[in-house]
Amino acid sequence: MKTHERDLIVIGGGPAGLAAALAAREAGVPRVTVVERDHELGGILQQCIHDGFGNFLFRERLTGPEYAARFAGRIPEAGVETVLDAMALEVRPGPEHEVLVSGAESGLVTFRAPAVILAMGCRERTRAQLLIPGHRPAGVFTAGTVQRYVNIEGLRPGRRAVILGSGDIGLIMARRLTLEGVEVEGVYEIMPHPGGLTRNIVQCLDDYGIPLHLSTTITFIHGPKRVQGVTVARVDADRRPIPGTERHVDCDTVVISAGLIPENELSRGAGVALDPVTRGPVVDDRLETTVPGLFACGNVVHVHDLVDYVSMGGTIAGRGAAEYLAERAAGRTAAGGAGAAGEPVVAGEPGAVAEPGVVDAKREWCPVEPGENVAYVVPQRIDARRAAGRPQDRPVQFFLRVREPGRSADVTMTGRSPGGDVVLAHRRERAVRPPEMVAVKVRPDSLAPGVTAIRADVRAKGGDGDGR
Amino acid sequence: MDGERTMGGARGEERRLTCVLCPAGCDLMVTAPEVTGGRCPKGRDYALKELTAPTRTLTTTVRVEGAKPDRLPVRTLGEIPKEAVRRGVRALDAVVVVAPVRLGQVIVDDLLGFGVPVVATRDLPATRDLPATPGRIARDG
Repeated sequence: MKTHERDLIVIGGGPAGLAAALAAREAGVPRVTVVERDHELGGILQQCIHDGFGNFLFRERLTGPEYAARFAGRIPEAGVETVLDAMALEVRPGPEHEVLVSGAESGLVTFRAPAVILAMGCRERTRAQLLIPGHRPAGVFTAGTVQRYVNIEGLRPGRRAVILGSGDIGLIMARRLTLEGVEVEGVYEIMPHPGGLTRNIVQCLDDYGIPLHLSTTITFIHGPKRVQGVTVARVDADRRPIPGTERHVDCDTVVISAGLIPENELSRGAGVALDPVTRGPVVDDRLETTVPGLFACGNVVHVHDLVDYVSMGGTIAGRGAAEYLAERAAGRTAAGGAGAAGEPVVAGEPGAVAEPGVVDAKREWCPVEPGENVAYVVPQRIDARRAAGRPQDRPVQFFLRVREPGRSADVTMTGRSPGGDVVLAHRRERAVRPPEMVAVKVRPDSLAPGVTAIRADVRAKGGDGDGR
Repeated sequence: MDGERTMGGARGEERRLTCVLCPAGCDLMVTAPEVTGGRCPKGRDYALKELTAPTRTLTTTVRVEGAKPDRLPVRTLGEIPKEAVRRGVRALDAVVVVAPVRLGQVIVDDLLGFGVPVVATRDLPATRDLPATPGRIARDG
């Protein structure tokens, strides 16, 4: 089997991987290779033909393919190598990481590089994961599959559909199916609040008169060969169906839009520590995982609601990998090993799992913890001294998700330091909702007073952040 | 809660809208011509237009000959009346373009007479133009 030597391997050519590869090249990493399993770059954006992407990065409302082209179009001139139709099968950590790739053209090959960026994205939750009782007929699809059928293959999945779950892709597909002549009977959401962005409720459901039934779910799928209908029922506060509220709905198609799960089979195999809440790797301020030289960005880390944030994360990981490679070349690595000029670096035990906050080799980690009304914060830990030394235009970017909706919310990042607690960042959000990620930046100089731990809190005046 | 979502209600002259121009999704309170609640000035224009002559960008696909898969994503370059979106999509059902197509290429000059062109939102090479060896790995060195 052939082995190819590179400086950085990026696994995945979607928005996260493309931004990461471009940022790494801009930061001077010589040999950057993107491994992509599809026949072209862009990832899932290619089937997201609706507009609304790029509002923050480009101040435009681009379609998915247009957004993808903004990044993919820069790849050749940036000198990034792309290996398409190729699947990364395994990441083996070591002094030099190895990525085993099966490619349509290349066959089975190994790429060896000191730095690897994991950018595999996420996968949709399927019917099997939701445990919906009933028959096993044809006509039950995930929203992303329907999106591919309609937008790429030009196929119509059915004539009358119900949508289970009010995630953004389900809302987008409710509109898309309606426009393609499929009757969308309604959207059923088990939670008392919608799963998708408010604007998608408005422009995808309200615009087309499609009802959204909250606190309601499918309790049975009727078959037996093709979907013939579903039973829906209201649920109580514990999400248990309320007897007597069942109703039959005729349909031949069930579209599931009930959540996304970070895809981390490769990360797990590489021994990267995963966060049980985000289901993605534990990462630091430069999006490095607990295995030195292995980075992660985009929906691998946690599921983002906006692609702009995915691209921003890719840039952080790409620069982070460049910083790591420079440290390594200078003989300063997390492992504190030799590492000068081609000398192998001992990057800790392969597959070693470090917990946030523990002293990892010579590095002191500052844990980042979710406080009041915060489900999770990413990154989960930072090297505060390193982050404090960066220029002011490279703040530490935090993303958090709230547990409960609220209005007039104060988002505060508080640092513990020898001199007492310090407010690292504060912002007021008019409304916070679980589906909408909150982004907070912490300036490097605010970390200067020796911050040893960080907590994120969201204190709302209360009420229902959902009352659109 | 009865499980059905209530429409953001119209009370007297005051109307509540959610701005759809960006992911912030601002809640707008409209008592024409006054609009409050937007984080940026675009919300005001959006709200007044939404209550008088709402418009939308149309996105869909058209059929392509000479490429695989054979659908090309397209968009209106600008907005058309909201009530015309369905008609617009149906009108585009009849359109067939021939690959190769370039991003931004005009597919229809004027959709339904609103003076708004429809353009391709991606490059689509003709199948025969596809590189024979996609993703060949460069030689080391």
